[in-house]
Amino acid sequence: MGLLAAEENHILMPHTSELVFGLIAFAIILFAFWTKILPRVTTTLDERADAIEGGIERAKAAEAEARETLQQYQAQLAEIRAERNAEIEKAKQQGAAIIAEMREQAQVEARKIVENAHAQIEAERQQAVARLRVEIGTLSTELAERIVGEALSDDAAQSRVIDRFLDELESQDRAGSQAEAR
Amino acid sequence: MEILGNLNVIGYGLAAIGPGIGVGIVFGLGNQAIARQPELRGPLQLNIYLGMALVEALAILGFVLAFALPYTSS
Amino acid sequence: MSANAHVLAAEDGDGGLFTPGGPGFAPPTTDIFFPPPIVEFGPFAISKYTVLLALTVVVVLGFWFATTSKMKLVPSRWQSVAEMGYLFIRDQVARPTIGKQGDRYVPLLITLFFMILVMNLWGVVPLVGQLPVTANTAVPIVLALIVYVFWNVVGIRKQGGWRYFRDILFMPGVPWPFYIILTPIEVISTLIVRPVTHAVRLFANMFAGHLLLATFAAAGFYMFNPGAPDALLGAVSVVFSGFAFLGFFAFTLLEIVIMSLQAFVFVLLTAVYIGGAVEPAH
Repeated sequence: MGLLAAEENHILMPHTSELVFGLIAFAIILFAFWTKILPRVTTTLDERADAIEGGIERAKAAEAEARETLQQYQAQLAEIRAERNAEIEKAKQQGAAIIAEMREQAQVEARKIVENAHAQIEAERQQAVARLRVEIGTLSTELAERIVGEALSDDAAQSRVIDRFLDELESQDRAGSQAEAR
Repeated sequence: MEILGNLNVIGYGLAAIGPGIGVGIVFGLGNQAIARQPELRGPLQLNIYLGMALVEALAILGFVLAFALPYTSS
Repeated sequence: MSANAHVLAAEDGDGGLFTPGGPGFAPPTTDIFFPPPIVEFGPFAISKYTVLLALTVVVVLGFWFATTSKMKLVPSRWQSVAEMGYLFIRDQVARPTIGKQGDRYVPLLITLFFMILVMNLWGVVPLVGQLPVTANTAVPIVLALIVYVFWNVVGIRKQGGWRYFRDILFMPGVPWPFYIILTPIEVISTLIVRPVTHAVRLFANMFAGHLLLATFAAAGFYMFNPGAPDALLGAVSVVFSGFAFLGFFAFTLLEIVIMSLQAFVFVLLTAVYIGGAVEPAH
């Protein structure tokens, strides 16, 4: 071997053709990567990242929505429960009021009935007394007449008269009480 | 006794001693560093290869000179 | 490389191991990196490298167009492989080194990574390749030059030309007498050594690895000599060549690792250089 320049097939001497063709090959590959291949790869990767992120965000949104709905439901439930409690309370009060009123009415009525009954009894008693008075008068008059009319000689006759009188009186009294009951 | 051959190759062999040791040290210490802090593996590996490339430059110069310089066989 | 090695072994004559009077073992030379040009016109020549370069373009673009032509939100298997490749470059290389603006440079980085990876892997693809394209100096030089120009342009556009070069020449935060030593070192290391090592690292790894594999393969072919005059020695030669091929396969696996690693390192350094240009020096 000799000097670098003098040697034709020296291992360190670059060949002109390989220099040029290497440059061309590099340029072709670089051009293809730059304009065609890598944009596709990056767009796909970006899309995938978007898809994954979108999925996560959708899941988050759904979770938030679910939580919100749950809260709404719980609020509604609490509201309904409170309302129901209020209703029950009101109903209880109303029931108590109604019962009190009814009792009042019943008492008033009972009292009225009792009063009526008292008044009637009184009236009937008065009537009875009055009629009794009249009747006793007539009876005693009649009895006196009879006693007087029978000539008071006979004891037996007397007692017979008295018995008959009492029988009459009894029957009269029964008829009278029946008539009165009617 | 006649010895034939290219003296430049011996020169290259001598030139490769230092970088050989250097590359060994670079990788050994690099592995030690990774073993101590495995979480820094990425940057450490990068630095290992960088250090290897720098150390290797001397051996590469020796290689080039072994071919580039003219020689005379005995 | 085995084909080349076979040719070499055949050129040795009908000798081989343990055959008296044989020509002896001739290891593969750098000539295996200079396949004869197929077509020549002027300064240009279409060689195996050129064909493999074209195949690289076809393979890289074919894979990416096939996996990304009908992209879905729920990825299929191959689509997720492509996405992993993209996310690897973006999250492991671009963002940690360049920072927030890293996403802008992902196309360049991903181009470099997959192009270099495929070009490297041609070295272990049997029949078609068996020659890493990056083992030709021209290809790494072109790529490193592109990167070199790119990060300098980025630095000048982001920080302004004067400030950018001032930061390179005079590292801020250093007492001025140190500039006497530091400035030449910085100029050499940043503006000269950086791109050179960037290119040569890739080239040298691929070159040396390929030469190693070729040596193992050639040795295997050389030592395979069952027709040796002594039958016992013939059997021994077969065992020897078996060891050589075992080494060949082991180092092939190692080479695959190194090929991926070098593609990654190239891209990582590109990102670091760009990152240094985007962010003002601290």
